This record gives sequence, structure tokens and C-alpha cells, in this order.
Amino acid sequence: MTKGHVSNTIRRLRFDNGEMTQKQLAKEVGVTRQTIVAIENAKYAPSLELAFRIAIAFKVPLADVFSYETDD
Amino acid sequence: MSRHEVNIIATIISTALVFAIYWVKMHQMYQGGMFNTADTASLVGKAILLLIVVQIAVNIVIRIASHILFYVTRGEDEPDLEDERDKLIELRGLRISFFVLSGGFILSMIALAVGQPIFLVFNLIIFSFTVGDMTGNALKLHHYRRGF
Repeated sequence: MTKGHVSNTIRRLRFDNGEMTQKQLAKEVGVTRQTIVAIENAKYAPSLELAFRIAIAFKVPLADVFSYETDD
Repeated sequence: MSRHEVNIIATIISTALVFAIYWVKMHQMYQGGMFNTADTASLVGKAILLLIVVQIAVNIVIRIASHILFYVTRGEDEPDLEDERDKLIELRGLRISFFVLSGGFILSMIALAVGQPIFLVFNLIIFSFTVGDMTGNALKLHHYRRGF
């Protein structure tokens, strides 16, 4: 099985959305600020539900927020 | 460092401290020949129950103190929320704790089967609880700091 990782554009989307802070995004999607930090730094891959909530918070499709890259 | 990480570190320190004091006391009692009587099992049981009560009390005190210290130094009003990442890390910590505890329990049963004294068997079980708890907490801290 090919290994890969989930990358995201959350930091850019936050800045594009009125310079939203990590704390504001965390409150909007119902997680802690540390979880948003971990997601942005690719140290944690969110669940599908959380990924959708983040995309809805930015009013963009899921694929505009998250992408999956294989390591090969 | 998040509130959860501070709690984990405080728990590891308190567990190590209480268990160290317990071991010193038990060793002194063992050297004094207090576990060579017919009441050994009862005495070991009482000592372990006391350890559990003291451990819980110390954990509560240290966690309250670490909470206060966290809010005073950080000045951050972090919501008291356990999200999906916290739950996942908690589960992974519990899993490793279970494995360590199971291994320790099997070792203690082997000790019992080969005729080792009750004092040693019960303290092996307590030791595996403690090591399992600390291993689980160490893994949780690793996941909080380094990710998955």
C-alpha cells in the first residue's frame, strides 16, 4: 500500500477570510486551537466530518482545503 | 504547551513520586520482617488500598495546581473541550497502558506459579499498573508534541 499524507491550505484560507485566527476557526468548527495548529502543521489528519466542517467554515469545496499526496 | 500536555506531565510526576514513596515504605516494612506473618495478604491489601487513595488525592491536588499555574502564566482562557484529537490520543494511551499492564499481570502470575511470596506478586501487579499508566501518559505526550 502506497503511503501518503494529507496536506491543507488552511493557513492561506484563514488569511483570505478576514485574517481569521486559529482560535476563531477552532471555535467555529468545534475543536481546540491546538487541534487546528496540529492540522495546519500536518501533524494530524482530521476526520471526514471535521474536514467538511472546516471547508464549510471557509465556504469552499473540500478539495480546496485538503489534498492527499502520495510519498512515491 | 497545551492544558492537556501540562496535565499529563503533572500526572506522570505525581505518579512517580507517590509510587517511589510507596516502594520505600514497603521496602522498609519488608526489611523489618512485617511480611513474614500469617497476615501478609491482609497487610499488602491495606497498603495497596492506601496507595490508591493517596494516588488519587495527590493527582487531584497536582492537577488543580497545574491548572491554576497554567492560567496564571498563560493568561489564556482555553475552553474545557475534549475534541476528536484528544479522544484519539487518549485511546492510544489507554491501549499501550493495557498492553503493559497485561504483561505485568502475566509476569506476576508466573511469579505466583513458581512459588514466589504474595508480597512480591501483588507488588508486581501494582508496579505494572504504575508503569502502564506512565507509559500511556508518555505516549500521549509524544502524540501531543510530535503528532501522529
